[in-house]
Amino acid sequence: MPNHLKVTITVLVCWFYSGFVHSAEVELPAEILNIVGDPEYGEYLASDCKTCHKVEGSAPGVPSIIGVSKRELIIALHAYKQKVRKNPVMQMMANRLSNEEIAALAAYFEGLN
Amino acid sequence: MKLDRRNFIGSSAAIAAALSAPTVMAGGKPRVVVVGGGAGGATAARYIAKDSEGAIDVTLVEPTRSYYTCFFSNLYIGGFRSLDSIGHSYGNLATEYGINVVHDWAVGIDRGAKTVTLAGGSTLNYDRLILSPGIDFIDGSVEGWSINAQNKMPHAYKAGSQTELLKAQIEAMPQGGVFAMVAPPNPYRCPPGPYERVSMTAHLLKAKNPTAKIIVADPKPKFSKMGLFQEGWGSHYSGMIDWIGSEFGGGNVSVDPDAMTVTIDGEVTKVDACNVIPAMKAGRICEIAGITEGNWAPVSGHTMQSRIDENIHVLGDASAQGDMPKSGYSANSQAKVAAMAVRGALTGSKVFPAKFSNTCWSLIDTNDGVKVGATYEATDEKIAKIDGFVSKTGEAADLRKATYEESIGWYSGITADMFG
Repeated sequence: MPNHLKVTITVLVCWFYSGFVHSAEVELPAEILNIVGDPEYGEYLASDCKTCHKVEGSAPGVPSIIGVSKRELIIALHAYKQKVRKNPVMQMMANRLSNEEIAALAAYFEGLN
Repeated sequence: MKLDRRNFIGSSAAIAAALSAPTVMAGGKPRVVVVGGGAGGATAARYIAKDSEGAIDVTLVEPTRSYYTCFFSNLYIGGFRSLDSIGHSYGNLATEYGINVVHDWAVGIDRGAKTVTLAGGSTLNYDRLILSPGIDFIDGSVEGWSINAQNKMPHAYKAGSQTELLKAQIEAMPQGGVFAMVAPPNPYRCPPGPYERVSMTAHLLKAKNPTAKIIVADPKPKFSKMGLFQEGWGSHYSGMIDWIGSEFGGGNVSVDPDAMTVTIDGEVTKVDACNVIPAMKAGRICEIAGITEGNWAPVSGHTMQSRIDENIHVLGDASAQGDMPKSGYSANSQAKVAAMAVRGALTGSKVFPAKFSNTCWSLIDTNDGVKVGATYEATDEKIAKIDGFVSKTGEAADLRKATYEESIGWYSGITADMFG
């Protein structure tokens, strides 16, 4: 048994390529899922997201991230970071985010829900 | 702390010191003037107004009432977008965010008095000035061409009437006629832009004038997404496009707008439409402000502050910042860093380390979209690339279609981010 509890989560969410359904799997330790993010830092980081993702409504080709749960968002960003999800823009954006920054983004977007 | 041209080198310590003591305003709220209402200026104005919640007076100076984005203007030429769909007004910025939108030209900057003079005669005071004027053209960079000839040989590199004119001229070409483009030298606005334009022109001609020819005279040996474009030109527009790079004399070019001829490496060609994209420099207001070195305005990547005047931030195409391409996406990304730094300096709000990103989508033909992107961070020397990607040749059609659809979503997102 490892020091941390491994949580295996299967995600069936279509984030990109409308009309396609992705099945992605990432393993995240509970300590990563449970990081308490700084929403103020998350708001700054989220300004990067808002270049493509609209805060109000959505647009074809780029899904809305408003209303997505904190857990879903954390899993999705880690799935892109681990290159389980395939969109290269999102892989690149997630690749530079630390675990704390992903938690900060999730905390900020949760506050918008 | 006094930062001047000699000692303002953009070090982390200097930035921290510059931002640590918010400016105390003797006569009311701090004032920010933003010159230029494009991807950099509109975004910066909106973020400062939105996030300061009324603590900062924001004035946006932009001459046009309807702003046409350069990005996606090629898609108008190709017939994929209407001109109206790439036009935007500043109404939301005024009504929803309380920004004082002034439709005028900034014609003078007094850095000592911290004032901006407008063509209409008014003077605006600022505590921080953000310059995001985009590009101007370098006179004489294409022999035979000047701004006086822009109706005969449009640049169409500032979107709007020039784009309409160029499209009309392409559509008016006789069957089997010749379209020429004089491509610009590096660095210039939107690196894939000329080649997306070639693609969109070819798309238009393929439908209406399939025996027409396209000649591109290029002073560069290679260009952004070159393999992707050339693959697409071969598969979609076989035999139509002749790209002449610098090795084959593409940089040795002159034009005669009256005779409608283009001379490439000594060979004169009669053309029916001609798009001259001259060499570029920072929008003239940067030169007027005295903050340029060479053709561009050097900035610190930590805050987008001018390296010559700490009270001025320069965004987007006009800035010399390092590795980021001159694009609308880059300007939008830089605007958010500058907005945060300006709020930090004027109100003491929290400042986080600068992070930047960029992606440029291009359309080659119907549902054949490609993209290139990168992330960046600020170092003391420059904005430095940390990661990136580019579409691959030979990609499946459904992926290319998804990339195009993604670009439509991005356009909707970034314009909402700019104009509210």
